[in-house]
Amino acid sequence: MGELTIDKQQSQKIFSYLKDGRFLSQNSPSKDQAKLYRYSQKYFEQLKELYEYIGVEFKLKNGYCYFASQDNKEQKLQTIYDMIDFLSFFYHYDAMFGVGSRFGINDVENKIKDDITLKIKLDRLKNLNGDTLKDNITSLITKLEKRGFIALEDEYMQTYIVLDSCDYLIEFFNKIEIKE
Amino acid sequence: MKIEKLFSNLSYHKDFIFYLFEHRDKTVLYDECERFISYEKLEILENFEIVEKVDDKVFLDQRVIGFLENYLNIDENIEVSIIFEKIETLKHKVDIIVEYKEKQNSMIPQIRREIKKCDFILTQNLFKLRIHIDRVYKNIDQFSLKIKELRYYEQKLKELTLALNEFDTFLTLYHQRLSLFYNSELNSIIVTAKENHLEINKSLIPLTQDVCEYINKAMCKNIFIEKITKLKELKDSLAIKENTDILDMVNKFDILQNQIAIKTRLNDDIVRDEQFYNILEKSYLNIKAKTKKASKIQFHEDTQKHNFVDVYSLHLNFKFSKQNLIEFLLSNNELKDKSFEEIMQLYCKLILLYEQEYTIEDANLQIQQTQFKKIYYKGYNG
Repeated sequence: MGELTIDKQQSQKIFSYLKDGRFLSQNSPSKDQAKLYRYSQKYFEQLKELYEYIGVEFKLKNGYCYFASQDNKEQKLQTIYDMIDFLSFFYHYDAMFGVGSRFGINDVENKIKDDITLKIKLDRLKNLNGDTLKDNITSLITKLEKRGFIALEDEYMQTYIVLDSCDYLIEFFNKIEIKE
Repeated sequence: MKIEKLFSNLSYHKDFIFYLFEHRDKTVLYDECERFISYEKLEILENFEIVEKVDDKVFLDQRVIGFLENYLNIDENIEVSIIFEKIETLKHKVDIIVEYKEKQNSMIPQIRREIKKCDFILTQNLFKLRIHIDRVYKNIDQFSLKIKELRYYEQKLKELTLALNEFDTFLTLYHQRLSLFYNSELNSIIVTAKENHLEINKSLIPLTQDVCEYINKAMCKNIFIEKITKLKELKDSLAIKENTDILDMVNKFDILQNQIAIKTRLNDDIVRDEQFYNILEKSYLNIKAKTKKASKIQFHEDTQKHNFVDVYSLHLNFKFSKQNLIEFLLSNNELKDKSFEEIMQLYCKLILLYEQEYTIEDANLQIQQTQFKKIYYKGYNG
């Protein structure tokens, strides 16, 4: 093992954050998370080596990092399907949806009220456990937030920002080939 | 029409003109205008070609709109091609004044105005292009429309570059000829136009880069959105596995699905607790080495006193005893509890410590089958 100059507390915090399958992004509005990302970027090689000892693969891409795993193919397929639903919904809501774009729960709610297609798309999404329209939107947003694809930027205005990690999905779906 | 009459009419009906100008992109019915102007006066304005009537609709004359838009700098149309015509006119006028010197006085002011106008049109169109390109990229949601609009402005940008080059060529070629007329104002305008030309050229580079980047981004995004829409359709119709390579691609989707489990004998709830690290750290810091205190040892003072033999006192007593050493030791009351072996040890100890002060004789003394040398304190041996 190479010379370890990493801080035990920082590496522990990074592990705690990523161990649930989340992403750490550079453009996170949370100062702590952005700091952890910067730390990961700076000490990537050392951290990668450290996490390898407990059998975890640590990956750093352009603007985000995560723990990779090749297990649970069935579950992965389901996650991919969920992501297609989410992206289809958000691109219908706003064609400019992508890294750095912002949206508010109220904006989404108002748009759904005016757009029946968007309402149908939301209703068809699985596992949204809300009784009202707003609850369903919140449930959908929470799912993406838990994965680390979006983050709450303004608590008072309830506005979210799309994080760098969203590039992972864009890159992945860009690689999928549709047979003609 | 006399200019006084035009200004007087514009001024007198300013509220009506302002209303029409404000609604120039909409249809205005005469009914809406009744509060501003009577029908008779409207006909007068129509005769002056300030307004135009079509059935029950009223429009502001295009020349008035054009003048106001130009003056207020709110004309959104990109008109670059006019530059080429103006340059042709300029060339023609310069040729005339070179050949017909008498025309100089009337034509030089015109040339000055035209050069100024060309410079203004180029700057204004560059400014408008910047606004339009940013606005289209940011505000149009439909990507196909966005791309179409951006491509239009890309073309306009190319035209502007050509116009700029044409104007630059004109200034370079004709500056020398125009400088022969020694008109300082004209020369100063040409110098300013050349300076502005450099500035416009500098601004054109990032703008061209931006429009290309916007088009590329919009095209990529458009393709991506179309792809997601198609994937969604295939997924909903349960045909995604057959019509895509998604099953092969699952291997490349390497996001962790389940929480990483760490093997430990600790309670799982505790390990998963967010405060686990803090608890662990706190516990670690509180650990103290377990030690036992030794029980208090009580020494028996009498025993201690009894067992202790002061060798030096014994030596002094021996000094004044006039006896040989072994007999002195055996007869000493303080040593009566000592065994023979212990007496022998003291005998040896005293010899080793004080040999210099003792006289050791050759004669031996046998006690309990052990031979002892006769030893006296120096000066006291009998």
